[in-house]
Amino acid sequence: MKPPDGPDLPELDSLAAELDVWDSRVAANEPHSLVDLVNRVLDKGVVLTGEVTISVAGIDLVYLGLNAILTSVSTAKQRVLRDGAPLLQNLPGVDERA
Amino acid sequence: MITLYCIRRRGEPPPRDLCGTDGTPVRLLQEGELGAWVSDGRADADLISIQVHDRIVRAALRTATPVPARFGTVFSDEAAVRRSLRARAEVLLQALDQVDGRVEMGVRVLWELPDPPEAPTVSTGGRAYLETRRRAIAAEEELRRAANQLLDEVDGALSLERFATSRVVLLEAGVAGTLAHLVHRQAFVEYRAAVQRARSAFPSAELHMTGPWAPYSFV
Repeated sequence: MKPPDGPDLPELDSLAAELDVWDSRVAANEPHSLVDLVNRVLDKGVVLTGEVTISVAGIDLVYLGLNAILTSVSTAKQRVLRDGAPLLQNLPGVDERA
Repeated sequence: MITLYCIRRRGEPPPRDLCGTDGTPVRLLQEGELGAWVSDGRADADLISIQVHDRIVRAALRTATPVPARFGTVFSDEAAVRRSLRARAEVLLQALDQVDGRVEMGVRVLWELPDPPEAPTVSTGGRAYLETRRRAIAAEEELRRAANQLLDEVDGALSLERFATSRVVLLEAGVAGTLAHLVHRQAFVEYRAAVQRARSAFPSAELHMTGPWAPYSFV
């Protein structure tokens, strides 16, 4: 069924396409995408009266890892361009994705 | 243990192949008008789990905009999830109405840092130290003010007054901050065009479009 305010298919298609693109960029561990992602997932979102048991120290490690990524983004980029090394090796709380 | 990822109105279950942070399938837990996406087990505090959380929330976003749960919302059992959903049902349904049919888009604003303040003259003594501290604090305030001004200008150039805005200032070096907008699904193309136009208006800044996200910044 069509919504009353005009054709939606092209736009919906492109939103789905954009979600695909964004999925792949996040999966590729682009540093700035990662920082935005972590800031959203950790700092925002609705808080329910759950039993939040994720350790604070662990979260700090994630941020530490991200800082390490960011301070070396430019050099890491050059390294990736040069020899294709992945960005996220050997950082606390950061594993390479399969 | 049960991990909660996001909440929608009751209805469609998650895709069958979607797995949670513990590798167990994500399933639908319905309570009243609400449908929660949950999985058995709990997340570790590592980057992979954070990415999995977001991937699940964005899988939900594909079919209907969810209210994302804060990372690490873990319950002892299903009954605890249901109790929590019942207790917050009114607020959650209101939030769902607010974000219905919308996605969160973001712009990360990178800038060339303004010139650092001149180095303080080298000297010893308490007064010199305090003077140096005072200057450092003033410099940081100035930086924050400049970052806010740039974000204001970019936000204005995007001409998106009708979209709700949220911002974070100075996340890390080289970044003035990020803007987030709640954009109607149909207005997505328009948003991308607005960012494109704003780019030419700010040649000295770099604008990175991010998203579509679930509406993390608006719940």
